[in-house]
Amino acid sequence: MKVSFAITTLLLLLAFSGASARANHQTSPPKHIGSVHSGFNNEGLCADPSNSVLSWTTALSHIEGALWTESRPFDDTWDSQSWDPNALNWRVYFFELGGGNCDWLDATQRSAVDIEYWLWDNTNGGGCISPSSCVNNWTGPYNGGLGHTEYTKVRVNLYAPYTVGTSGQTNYYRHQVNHETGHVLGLADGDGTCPDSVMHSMAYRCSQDRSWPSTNYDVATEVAIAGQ
Amino acid sequence: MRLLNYALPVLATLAVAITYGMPQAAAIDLNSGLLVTTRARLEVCVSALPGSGMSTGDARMLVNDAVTALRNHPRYESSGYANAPASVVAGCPSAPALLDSGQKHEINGGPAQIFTVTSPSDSRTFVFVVAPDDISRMFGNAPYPMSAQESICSGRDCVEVTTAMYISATATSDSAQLRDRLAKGIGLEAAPPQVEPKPTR
Repeated sequence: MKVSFAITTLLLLLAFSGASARANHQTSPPKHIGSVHSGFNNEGLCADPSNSVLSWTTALSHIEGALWTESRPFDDTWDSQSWDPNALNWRVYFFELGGGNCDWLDATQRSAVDIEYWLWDNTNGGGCISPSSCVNNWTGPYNGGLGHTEYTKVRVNLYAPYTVGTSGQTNYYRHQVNHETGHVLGLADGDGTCPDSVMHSMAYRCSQDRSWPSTNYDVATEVAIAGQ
Repeated sequence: MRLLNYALPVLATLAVAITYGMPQAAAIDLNSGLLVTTRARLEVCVSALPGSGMSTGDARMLVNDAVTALRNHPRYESSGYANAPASVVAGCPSAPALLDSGQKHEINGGPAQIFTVTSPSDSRTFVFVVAPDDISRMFGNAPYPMSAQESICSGRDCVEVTTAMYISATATSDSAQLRDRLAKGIGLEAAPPQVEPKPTR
């Protein structure tokens, strides 16, 4: 009897929370950085390692490495679509902005940053549960009648030992950076299914931690979000 | 059938609770421009700070005119603002968070960041009329000086639910500029990119 009551309650909770598997793999309701819709507003980023032992140069090189420099010719990156001269989706294009630690940028430069990547020796300081990484501090909301909310700025908190490979699997930072960046772009965490996706990682009972976003699933979802 | 026997009482209990009310906690509402479930209408508060060169009363009237004009904005209704009359009130319930913190711009600190609250104010947007020097110090030359005023956290995820606009008396007196700024400040439009150097790789 207790079991059936528990099942009933669970079913009701699921029904009311809308926690069913989502085939389109987007955050529900949609939540992402607004610049994904724009072909002229690129994704300016900065790196801030001041809460870790890392240097700014080391931190930035790993973030850039995960996002584009180590994946040439850009066939497996979030902004791979931007290199198609015939495509209309020059929408996601990461670049470093300011030439220094986020907190050292002047006010004008910092206001222009879309994504701040903060590195932590203990990510509890960034509001995560160390050693996990997380995305938070979504600011600059606008709704614009879209039926969902977008943000002009967001902070990604990365666990520094993963970022430079002193902990975790070899080159795990690529997965870490691209998984969290997936959230920035509007993709959700794994949901119990295991498509070929950087979001559906071992933490979500899948068999791999992809280094790069997959073209057919992750990038396709990102392009779909950008087109909405 | 046994499942149904238990489902119905649970549903009934929920229905009673919804009908007769439970203490309403603020929850993030990403489907509405109001951003949280506890706001029934678009409310904008206005505070003119000492040294700004404008009184709060004058600033409130100007902001009220701009909000009234924005009712014709093509996204006003779909943002959920037409469900109840908008309100513009004199005086904001908290001081300008960014100005008081002495920070250049937002996103400083961790989970105990300066903006985090558990009960967001009724005002969706705070308009702070401040001296131009304060705007320059906090935002440099950014064309749309705005910051989080209040954020609420759900688990480890913190999102801005109240926006603070920092504006000079001169810009407040310019109806077209004020309307443009407010359209961004209440989330009808995205602030355009502030600095977009041509990226090279």
